[in-house]
Amino acid sequence: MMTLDRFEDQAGLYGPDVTRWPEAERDAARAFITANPDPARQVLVQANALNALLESAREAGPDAALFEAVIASAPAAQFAAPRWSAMAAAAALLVGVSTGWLTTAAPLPEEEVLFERAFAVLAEDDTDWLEEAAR
Amino acid sequence: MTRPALRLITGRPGSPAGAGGTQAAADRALADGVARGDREAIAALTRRCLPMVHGLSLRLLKDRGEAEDAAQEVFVKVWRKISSYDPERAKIETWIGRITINTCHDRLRKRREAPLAGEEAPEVTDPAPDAEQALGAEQAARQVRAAMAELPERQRIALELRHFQDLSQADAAQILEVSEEALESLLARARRTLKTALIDEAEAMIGTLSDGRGGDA
Repeated sequence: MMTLDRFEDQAGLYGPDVTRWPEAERDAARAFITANPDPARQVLVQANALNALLESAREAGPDAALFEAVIASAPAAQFAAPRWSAMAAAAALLVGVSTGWLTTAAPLPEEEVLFERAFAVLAEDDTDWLEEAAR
Repeated sequence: MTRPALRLITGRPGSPAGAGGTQAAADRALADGVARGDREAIAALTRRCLPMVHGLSLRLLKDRGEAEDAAQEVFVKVWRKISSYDPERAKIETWIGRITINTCHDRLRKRREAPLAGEEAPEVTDPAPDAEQALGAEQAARQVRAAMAELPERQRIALELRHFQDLSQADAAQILEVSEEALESLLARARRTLKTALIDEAEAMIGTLSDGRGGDA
């Protein structure tokens, strides 16, 4: 129910224009104005006057120098790597480690080691005797 | 199913897609820019929040010079703590509003602990008024400011946030850490006190304002 105090509080919160009051309050406010036109008008005039008085006492806002000082106090731009770069770096590291592990950690069978060594020897320069033997 | 990388960019899974979600996403982008040291983001955040920080500081400290110092201190804290800001929990204004109140409380505490001999509580001061401004509307404004300065702190903050900074009921309530109903109560009490304090001068003040401002009161 809309009482005079409630009407006064709402007028202070939302101003003298009842159409800008919360929807839930509007019908009750209109009914209050219809039933109590003089007190309602007095409340709205007073609310308007107090708003005007408050407005007259508005303090000056921050000046340009303060804006500049605040902005200047912020840390300088840092190198900003995109978010995906960290994930890419992590993925590359993972692939590298995995590959290294697979190629070095897994022991080769003994005959494969011998096979590799044999070809390693054949790859050397001092294998001319093989060619001569073949003629 | 959302890919993990996409979730990283868009925020938490299931974040609201409505106005609140949009606001949170915008605040997150702004905070990320500030954290990277992006000058445009820093300037945008300063433009958005410095008037509120300055207004709150002035209302709490009642001294223009100290309010400016406090505002700078608040932003130094903001730059330092920006990576801990969580847009899902609060709008950036409410987060910075809380930092402002805490900073001013620290300053008020230090002022109480170390008062200078003979020091009087500083008053809100304006630049020296010229002869014309000293009359009429300016005099009325001084009386209103004096009446406002006498209000209990939480009523002063509520009035500053709602009337002068035009914050929403919800945001102002969150900064004060009260319910919206409690905020309404603070505002109602503040206005009643002001009305009582100014009732004798009200008619003359309104008349003066009408003469000085073309009768828009």
